[in-house]
Amino acid sequence: MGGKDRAALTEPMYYVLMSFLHQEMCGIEITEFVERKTDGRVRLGPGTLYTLLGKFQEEKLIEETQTEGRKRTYRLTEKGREAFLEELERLRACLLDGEEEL
Amino acid sequence: MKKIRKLFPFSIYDISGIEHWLEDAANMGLFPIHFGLWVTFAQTGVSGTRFRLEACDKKSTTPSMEQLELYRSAGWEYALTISNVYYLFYTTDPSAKELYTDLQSRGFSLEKLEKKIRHYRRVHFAIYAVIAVFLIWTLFFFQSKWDVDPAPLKKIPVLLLFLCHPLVLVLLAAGGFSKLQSIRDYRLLRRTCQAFKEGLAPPPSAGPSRQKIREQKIMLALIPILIVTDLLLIGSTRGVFRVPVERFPKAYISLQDLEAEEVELTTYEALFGPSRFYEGENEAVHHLSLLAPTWYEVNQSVYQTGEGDFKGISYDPEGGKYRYHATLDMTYFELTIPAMARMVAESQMEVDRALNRRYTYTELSHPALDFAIYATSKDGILQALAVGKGGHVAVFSYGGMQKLDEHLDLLATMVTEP
Repeated sequence: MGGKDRAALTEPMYYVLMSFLHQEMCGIEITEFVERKTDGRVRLGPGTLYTLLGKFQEEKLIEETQTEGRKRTYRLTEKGREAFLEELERLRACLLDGEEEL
Repeated sequence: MKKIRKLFPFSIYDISGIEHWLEDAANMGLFPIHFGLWVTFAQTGVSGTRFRLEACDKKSTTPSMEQLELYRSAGWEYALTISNVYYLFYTTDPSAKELYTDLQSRGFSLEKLEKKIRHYRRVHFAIYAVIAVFLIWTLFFFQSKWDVDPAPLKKIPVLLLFLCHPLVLVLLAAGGFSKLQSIRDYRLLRRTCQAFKEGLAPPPSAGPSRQKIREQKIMLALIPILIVTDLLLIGSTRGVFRVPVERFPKAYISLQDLEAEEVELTTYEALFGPSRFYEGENEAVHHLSLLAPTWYEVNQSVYQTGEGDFKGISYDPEGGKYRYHATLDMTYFELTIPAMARMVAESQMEVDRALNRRYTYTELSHPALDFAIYATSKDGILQALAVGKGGHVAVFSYGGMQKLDEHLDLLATMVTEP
């Protein structure tokens, strides 16, 4: 997956990437961020989060920064930021299309 | 504490089926403690327990510390690993969040399992392809530098007889059965993974399957059969089932009857005592094939008792005294398909042929036989003769002073008086 060929992000993927925009995060902090940000609308199960973190790492959208015991912290890579911005752009276009038709 | 064992009534990739089955077991007070040929349960199950299967990581048979911590913080505990395919997690807390809150991410999680299986399938295919290429090359293209008259295709009928050994067929059937199962299971995994990734529900589980239980029972029954089969096949290739000629009950032409009466002959052992070098002389071997229900070899070897001046082809045990030594190897077939008789006879002659000799083949006629083929090496020391009548075939390979064609009446009795 890369550049313009990237498939649309799912909602959990979008929010997980968003959680890294301003700071490094560990798994539990990501879950709390997403629930807080969406007022509980999007809830991340531990399987969903663990799978997405693995997938993003594999695709080099995030990278591990430190391991403290069982806790691992990640940050967004440049490629990850681009992926997030692309998705944001796509969502904006969707929103505009919808509003125009109303 | 009493343990309960149950056969596993699902395909390994029927994820929802397995999870529901374990939850039903927990409602009956059972908790899984081991997955193998069957599933072992302890009576520690708690009603209402939820079980979820997580695809194993590529490199580890246990979950990572990070995964354990994340899952534990959401109320899920690791129970065990199933066949290096899944980690089994469970929770007794009804309010614990589901492991997967969207279908797509579960699809991503299964994708790594699908990739792993696909990789194994490719590796297996490559291994089978290499073996097949090697076998084809060995059978049809390999030429020994000593072979002065190669004819690899001629050996095929005898190879076919070996392939139709019931034990080989059992092994092939077991391999084919297992392959079919794995293909079916892989297709289910691919469909499930695809459905999840598209945000759709996975294919519905058919529930516990009687067919799967039957297959498990067959596999369990096959394991001891396959072990015994392997041992028997290894044993037969190593000559464990060889019988000394004097104790062999079936018909054969005695080498002594073929040789001139005035030459006194005996075995190597009688002359010089036991020697490992001469093990296998004067022994009979049974073979088995569905294409040849009766199939055996009788190998005989005799030595002149007194000193002679015959320059034979065999190893001289006395350092240059050239004691006369004759050998007769006979292979007898009673074929299921009589039409194969001549092909099998020619094939066995090719199998027995000394590689460094060029043979001349002559058709002989005999009123009681369908065919008689006589082969002689240029120096006349080595000869072969094949006789056939109906589905009965006898092939003789001889080294010595006699002329086999002069003994056709005697040799023909192997197939005319079976």
